[in-house]
Amino acid sequence: MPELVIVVIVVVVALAFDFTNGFHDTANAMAPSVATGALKPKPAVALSASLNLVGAFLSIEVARTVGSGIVDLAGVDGEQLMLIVLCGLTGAIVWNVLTWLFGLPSSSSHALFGGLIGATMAALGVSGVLWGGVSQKILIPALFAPVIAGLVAFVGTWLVHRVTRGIGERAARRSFRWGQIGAASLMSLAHGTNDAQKTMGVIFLALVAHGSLDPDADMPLWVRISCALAIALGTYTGGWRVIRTLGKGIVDISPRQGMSADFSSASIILTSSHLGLPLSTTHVASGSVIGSGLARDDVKVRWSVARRMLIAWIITLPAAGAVGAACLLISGLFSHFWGAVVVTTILLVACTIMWLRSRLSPIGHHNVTDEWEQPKAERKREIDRELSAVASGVASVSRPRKRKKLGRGGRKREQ
Amino acid sequence: MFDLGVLVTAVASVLGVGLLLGAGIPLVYALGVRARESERPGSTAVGALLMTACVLLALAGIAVIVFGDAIFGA
Repeated sequence: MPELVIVVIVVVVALAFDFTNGFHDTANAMAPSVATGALKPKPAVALSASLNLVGAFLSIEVARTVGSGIVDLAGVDGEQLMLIVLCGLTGAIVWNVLTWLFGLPSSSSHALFGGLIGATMAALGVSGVLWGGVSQKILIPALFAPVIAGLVAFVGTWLVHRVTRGIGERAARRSFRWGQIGAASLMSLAHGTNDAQKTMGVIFLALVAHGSLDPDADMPLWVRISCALAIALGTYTGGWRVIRTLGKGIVDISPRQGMSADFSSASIILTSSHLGLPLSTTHVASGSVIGSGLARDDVKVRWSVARRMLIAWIITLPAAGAVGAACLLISGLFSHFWGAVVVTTILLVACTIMWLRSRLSPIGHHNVTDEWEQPKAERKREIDRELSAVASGVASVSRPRKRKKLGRGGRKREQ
Repeated sequence: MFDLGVLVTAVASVLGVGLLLGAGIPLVYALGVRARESERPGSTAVGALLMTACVLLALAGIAVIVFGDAIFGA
């Protein structure tokens, strides 16, 4: 009975991870379209959610890869294995929600792998991790993915600009709108084929550990349907903070650039899904946006934002791993059943705190396309307002003291 | 187990297909846009043809990538 409860908890938490993956990665497909106004924010996330749902059914190559080759869990008993998976998922979700809070497009895949690696190391030591597999499936692709995406987007954007340089901005905006919608749709489909698979792989691993499935069995239909629905629901919720950073923060994207970036990302992700290479869609999408920005001289890439993003990419794996390992050590203080309950409670509390913190500076469909850098005059007015607010806390500015007028001879005249 | 050959092949394939479809489709679309905006006789038809080619290329890309094993054998 406790084993059944643990597997149910693992499946529910895995679906929660899938949900966070969806809302964190909506930006990858839709940020350029929303930023250029090709699509309104709400229809954009609805379209992306529908295509993610379809994409989740198209391929299971990546799911097969996720379930094997990263950690060596042979000889680990069922309950312990499920606990490792649960703690890994907890690390991934906490990191996903934290980076969403800061509006950073970090990789959900790396968070997942980092969490699993951290929890495995805490349980089995360094030898529990297959470092060859980690290099081949995670680290080296993480280096290549943004570079390849950036290169393809650079070439695409440069060619498109060369071909259409004689066309006016208004005509280009009108004509490229449909191209951009098509490219973003393709990107959403590609995202579904790649990212929904990762959670399927994790659930498959937990079910094998529980003994409900044979390691050589096919992916159960209910797993595919539930993962597809979870990622679609997450996508529909819309991670507006990350959409804003990717669409407005890195570069002020034009419709031509948006279309080239989306086609570049979609083609790379679809190919990697076919090859079973679990590339991070976030790295690919961000690389494409930067590549398309570099292809034009008149557009400024905000390297400060890109640098923050790069730091988040580098620390994703160790940070999620640290949370996963800490959860596993905490769960070790209890029995497997109570350990699972305590870890899930920690997860719920952490996510609630971060969600409440996000309410202090809400970003939604209403303000996602606001300019990243305010015009100077407006910024000055805002600073003045803030200063007067601070000053009013020290000495009230709403009721200024009356000046006493000086009379003849420098004597104060009574008012 | 780390297999450099497999990795290099995978990365080269991703780059090749990426350049072909990821940069090729936007180029064909841009040619279509230029043809449509041009005032030469028959350019609208050429533009529509190029844009249709774009859609077909994207669909063919999805079909090959998703159903490639079933169509051509693993």
